Amino acid sequence: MQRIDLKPSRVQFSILLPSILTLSLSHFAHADDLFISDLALPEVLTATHLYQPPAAVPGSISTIDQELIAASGARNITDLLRLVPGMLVVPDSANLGTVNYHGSSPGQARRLQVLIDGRSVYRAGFAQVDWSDLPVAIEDIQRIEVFRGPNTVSYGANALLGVINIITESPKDTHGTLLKSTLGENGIRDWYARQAWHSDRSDMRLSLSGLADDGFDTRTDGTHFRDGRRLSRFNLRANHQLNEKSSIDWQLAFKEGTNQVNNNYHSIFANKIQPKPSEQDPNSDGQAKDYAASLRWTTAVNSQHSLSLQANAQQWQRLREWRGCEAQISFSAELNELWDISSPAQRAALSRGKFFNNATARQLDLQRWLANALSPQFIEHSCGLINENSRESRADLELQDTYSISERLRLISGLSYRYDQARSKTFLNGRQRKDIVRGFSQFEWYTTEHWLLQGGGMLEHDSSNGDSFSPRLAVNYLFTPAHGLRAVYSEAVRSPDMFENSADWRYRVHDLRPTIGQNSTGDFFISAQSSGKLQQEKIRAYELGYNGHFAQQRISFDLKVFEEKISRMISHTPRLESFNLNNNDHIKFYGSELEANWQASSKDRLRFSYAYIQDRASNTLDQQVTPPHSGSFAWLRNWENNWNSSLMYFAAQQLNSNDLQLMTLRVAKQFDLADKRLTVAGHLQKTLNNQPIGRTNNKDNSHDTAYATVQLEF
Amino acid sequence: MTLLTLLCSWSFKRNMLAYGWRLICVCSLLCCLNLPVYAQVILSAEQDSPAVRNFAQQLAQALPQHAIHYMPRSQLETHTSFAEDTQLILLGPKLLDWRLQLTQSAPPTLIMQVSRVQAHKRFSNRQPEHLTFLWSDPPLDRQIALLKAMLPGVKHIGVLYGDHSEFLLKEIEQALQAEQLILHKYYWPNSYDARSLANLLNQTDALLGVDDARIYNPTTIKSILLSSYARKQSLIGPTAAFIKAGSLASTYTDQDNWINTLQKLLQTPVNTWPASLYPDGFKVIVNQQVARSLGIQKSRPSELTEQLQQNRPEP
Repeated sequence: MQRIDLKPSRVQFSILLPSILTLSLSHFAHADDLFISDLALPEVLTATHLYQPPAAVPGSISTIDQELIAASGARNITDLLRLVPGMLVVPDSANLGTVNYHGSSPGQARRLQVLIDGRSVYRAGFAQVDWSDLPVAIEDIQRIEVFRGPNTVSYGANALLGVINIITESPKDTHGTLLKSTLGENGIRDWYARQAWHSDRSDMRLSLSGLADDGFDTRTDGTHFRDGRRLSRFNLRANHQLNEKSSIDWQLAFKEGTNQVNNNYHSIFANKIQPKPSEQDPNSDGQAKDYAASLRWTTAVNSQHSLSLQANAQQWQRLREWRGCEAQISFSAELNELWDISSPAQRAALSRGKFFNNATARQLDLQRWLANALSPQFIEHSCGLINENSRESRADLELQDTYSISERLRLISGLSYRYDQARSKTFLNGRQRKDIVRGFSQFEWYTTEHWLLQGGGMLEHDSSNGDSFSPRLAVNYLFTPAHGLRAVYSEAVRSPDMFENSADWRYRVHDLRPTIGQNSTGDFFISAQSSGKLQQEKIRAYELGYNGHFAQQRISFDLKVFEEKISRMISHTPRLESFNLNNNDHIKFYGSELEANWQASSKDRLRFSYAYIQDRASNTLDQQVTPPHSGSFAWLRNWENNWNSSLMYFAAQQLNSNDLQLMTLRVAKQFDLADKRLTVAGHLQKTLNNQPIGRTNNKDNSHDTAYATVQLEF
Repeated sequence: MTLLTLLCSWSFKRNMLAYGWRLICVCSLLCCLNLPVYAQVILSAEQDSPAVRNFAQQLAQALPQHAIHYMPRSQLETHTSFAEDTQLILLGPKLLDWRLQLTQSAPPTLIMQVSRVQAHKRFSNRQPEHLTFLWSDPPLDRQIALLKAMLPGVKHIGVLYGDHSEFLLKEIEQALQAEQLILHKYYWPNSYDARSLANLLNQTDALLGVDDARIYNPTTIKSILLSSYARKQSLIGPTAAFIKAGSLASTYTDQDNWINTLQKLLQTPVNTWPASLYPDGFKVIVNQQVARSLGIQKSRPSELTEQLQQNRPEP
């Protein structure tokens, strides 16, 4: 998105600055020089193709390039994100990773915008990113760019704390065949196959992949942790050059798989019923299917003006059904009525199995009925199918226009429309939908050779949350094109997701055995409804930074200090029995971050990241999440004879209540066999401090694992 | 010589039969015979254009004592022999081909607008005598010096080559080694093979272009530039023409530089003409927007030209 404000033309060749202007003109005054041949070459790297140099970016960007991705040996995208300063990666279970920037409860990791090739992949209804279920193989990723900081201006609501941009390999960079297999401890069985073709004006890449593992070894209590996964993916990406100026890029992606989940259903009347193990499922695994299609058309009107139009369609299907047992009275009309007419405080008492005072006459009657029903030592129970199915879909269309008004001023503007829909009987009692219309514009203005002013705003209309405006203003002072200071102020919003805004959460249990009366279907009495009056969360962020690249020493680094305040924050752990969402919370982060990359020699690359973050959170859920000190260190080395190694170390002090000390080591050897390349690699991941990662269910050392990879490319 | 003759005839008219004057004139004429005798220079180009005629005119102005004529190619090609004191300046490979057909070694010929790759394609290393090549491609050591000046941190330099440019590799490698740079060469005969390019770019820090039209042409340049730029790598060269497309920078020789070079050359005896040369004078052209995007610190052409000229080894 961030591109530089420069304009090429035959005579005025990229002239931003008056001093350069004269020079450029003097050199292109000879454009009809007999000895500077004009080969009718296309202008390839025009203003619309060029990115801003890192020092001129209105914010901080971390890039995880392909070399790092390969060297990490990572099987999960979330593991790569640990390289980004301030990024908090906490695995709830092995198949459910959470990623937050700076803080807030891992259970509500929904404040980051995540895009795959420009397609927003956070779920339409529940706003979270199912990292393990993304329909993209890590082998298809060319790089991951992380914009650290609010960026609603460029990416719309939900880019509250940052933006993670996953960019896949262009089909034409992957011509040929690649086969890869990974085997290892904990049931690791991954495979990947890729084939890419080309014709005169088209390139196409097909990749198929699968991933399986048993997840973490044990739970905190030492019992077996049932959190394995098995998934397979299909990805087809093509690019067609329509003519010299226009091209089309399209992509189809599909993922299906199973995520293991223990049956964690606990009956509210557990001490009153005696179900047999055979009556209920021990597990409640989920099926996840993701479908995505996208189409992008880009055209260069001329070298100063380009347009792109992107359309995406996506569907997320999450199916989870299992058999659980509950007292028959739970499905009674009386208990349903009692719940419905009770206040949140009364409900809280009820859900703890207690009767409440200050009851109305009807409530008293119903409580008496309940007391009577519970008087035997044991009561009748039925077992039925509980489901937490959901089907979410999204369609969006975005038109973006990049126009260099003059050599010093460039505008990026656009319009977009998005339709989000979610269907879930259990969570939404049917269907919810919303339309979002956005208009945005940003300018980049080089006031002088050294001063760059960037600003812009996004106006967004969300049919369920109203209108919002998010501005950003940044000033960069460039000592040279490679060294710059920046000061950035930005505001951003996050709209409550459909579940937060419109939850109507109730369990209708099917296939009850035995039936209750004549009914094989029953409505479980505990339910929850959203107030529907939630407002958007809002962040105000200030950032001062320095970005420099020392070409001679091959060192680049970025340093920033920041302060971020989220107000009207919705902090909650969604619980059926105490579901009361509000905008009453707030959080403040301040601190500094450093990221450095040093190509120490032609064989050694060192990378370092560090974040110091302090937080002030009003809600206990958001406290004790943010580590005051966290960071990573990576050393990549190419040895003699095609051997290479990478050593990565990640540490965080009190990341979600536990210290993190994680080390990964990868050793690989490449064999060149005529026109084929064979790579064999061994990978070891180990926690060094015998602590689980985050306040999660995994036991210490559960993360330790070893695996080996064989890859053949031809 | 013409001026002197005129002077003499004027003298004859004014001082009819004045012996003293006659003596002076004879002496003067004898003196003239001792001065270098400037030949008739015929300049021709593959394609007639105002730019070519303009060049011929400027050259004639720069060398007023020479008889420099522009002759369109069609007219030139009807000649099979030339007056003994004729010298040819031929622009472009097609005229080189025509010149190669002439069996006799005369007239002495300067070949311009022909690159080393184009010449090598025609006669490998057996360069014909009596032809002097003024190479059109930028000298590789100068390009490497430019690369080093603009990209001080780079180490691994990628070079794409084909059948006709393979002969340059040894020279490139030596020139790179002299600058403590490492060559990563990649045989790239098939421009559809984007993966090879990607593989090369995975090992390199920057690309050095060689002026081989089979490798760098309007069809291939897009994929080369997009692939290298995607990895934040710059392309130096292959020629100034590619700067507009998005190559970072190149050295080049413009019309003024060529006229200076020809001026010096045409004033020296033919038998001292080298078999080939690169002009001493050159300039640097930089794609400022690419330089800015890649955060290149030193990108002012005048400063780069000066730096390269200062650092040039003494001939």
